[in-house]
Amino acid sequence: MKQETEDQSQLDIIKQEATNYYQMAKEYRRERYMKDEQEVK
Amino acid sequence: MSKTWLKKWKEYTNYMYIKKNIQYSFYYSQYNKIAYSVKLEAFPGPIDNSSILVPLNEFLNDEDANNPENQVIRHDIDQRQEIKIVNKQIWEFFKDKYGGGPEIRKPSIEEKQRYSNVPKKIIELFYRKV
Repeated sequence: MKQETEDQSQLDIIKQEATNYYQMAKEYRRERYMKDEQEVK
Repeated sequence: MSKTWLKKWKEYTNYMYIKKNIQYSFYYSQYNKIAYSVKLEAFPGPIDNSSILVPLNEFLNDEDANNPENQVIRHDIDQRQEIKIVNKQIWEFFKDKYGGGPEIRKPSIEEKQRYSNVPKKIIELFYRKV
């Protein structure tokens, strides 16, 4: 049970890390290419 | 930074899942039904940017790897496949967690555009001494 909790916690951290990168990369593309937020995926 | 390293990180974190889930969750709900998983065995390790730089022993320099003038991007690599341009925020995001390097800094200029008031940012990857 404890191991499962630790695994889930690690999974959440990695997921958050990837989500944070997605947001930063999106913001950087918007800044670099000067597009509207709606255009940037 | 090295795109090869970034690809490994994306594989490790299952980045495509995250990307698709954020982009399409409102339209394609099946993405929410698939459980998120990661490939722990694909842990990328420290960032290695050396593969996109000309080694310091191959040209005349002051042997300071952190000097931007000594960070010469190799001409024989496929830029689209091997180089990812990121800002300082993204670089530090990865550097703080995974370490490695060297940090490659390149100058940028802002070019006025004909049909827009917002200048376009141009990054000079290849340093030229004139």
